[in-house]
Amino acid sequence: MKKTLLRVAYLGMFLALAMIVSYVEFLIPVFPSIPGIKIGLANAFVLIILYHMGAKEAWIVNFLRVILSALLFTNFYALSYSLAGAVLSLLVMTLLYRKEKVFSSVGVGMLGGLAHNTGQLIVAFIITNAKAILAYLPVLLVAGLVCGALTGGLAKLLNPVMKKIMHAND
Amino acid sequence: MKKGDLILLVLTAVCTIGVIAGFLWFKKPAIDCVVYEKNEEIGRYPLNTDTTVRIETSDGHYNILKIENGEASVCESDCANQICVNTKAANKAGDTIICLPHKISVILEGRR
Repeated sequence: MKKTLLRVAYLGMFLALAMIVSYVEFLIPVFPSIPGIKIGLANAFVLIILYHMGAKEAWIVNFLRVILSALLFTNFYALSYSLAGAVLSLLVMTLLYRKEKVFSSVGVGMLGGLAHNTGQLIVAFIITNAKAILAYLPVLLVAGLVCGALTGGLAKLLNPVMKKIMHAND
Repeated sequence: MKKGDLILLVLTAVCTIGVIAGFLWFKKPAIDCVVYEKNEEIGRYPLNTDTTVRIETSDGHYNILKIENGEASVCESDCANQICVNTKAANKAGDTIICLPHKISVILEGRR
C-alpha cells in the first residue's frame, strides 16, 4: 500500500517537473538562431520514468504532460505537433529501452529525439502540404539526435540518484 | 556507454558535419545582387548582366559595385578600411559583402 502511494507521488512529481522544464524552454529558447528547435528536457524525465518505473507509467505521464502543457501554456493547434512527436518518440524508446546490451539511455534518447522530430515533420507536412518543409528534414534529424543525446545523458546522470530513491523503501 | 550509443554518436557527428558542410558548399545559385544602406534596399541588379554601378551613400561617400561573369564585387571605395574591396567576389545566394564604415551591405539573393 505504502509503495503504491509512493509511486503515485513520484509520478506526480515527475509530471510536474516535466511540465515546468517544457515551460521554461518555451520561455527561453536555447538556440534563438534556429526557430523551432529546443532540447526537450522533459524527455529526460520521461526516460527516467521509463527506466525506473515502467513503460505504462511513462506513457501516462507523457500523455498528461502533452495535454496539460497544451491547455496551460500553448494552444490546441500546437497539440497535434507535440502529440505526434511525443507518441512516436516514446514508441521508439519503449521498444528499445530493454535492449540494454546495445543501448544505454543515451542511445535510446537519441533515437527518441530522431523519432520525435520525424513525427512533428510528418504532421507539419500533412497540415501545410508544403514540400519546402522537407528541406528542413536534415537539420531536424541532426538536431533530434544531438538533443536526444543531451536528454539521454541527463537521464543517465540521474541514474544513481533514482536507484537510491526507488529502492529506499524496499 | 554501450556499443550502440557509440555508433549513434559517431553517426551524429558525421551527419552534423555533413549538414553544416552541405549548407556551406551547396548554396543555391544567386539571381539578384541587392544593395542595402542601413537595412534599406537602395538598389537591385540582376547578376546575369555585366555592369558597374557607383553607389552613393547618403553621407556623400561612394562604393563602386562591379558585376561581371555572374559575380559581384566592390572594386573601389573611399572607406578607411577597404574591407569591402578586399572581400572576394560573391557568386552564391546568401553571400554578402559589407562595408561597415558606409553602412552598406551587398547581399546576393536566390530564387524569389
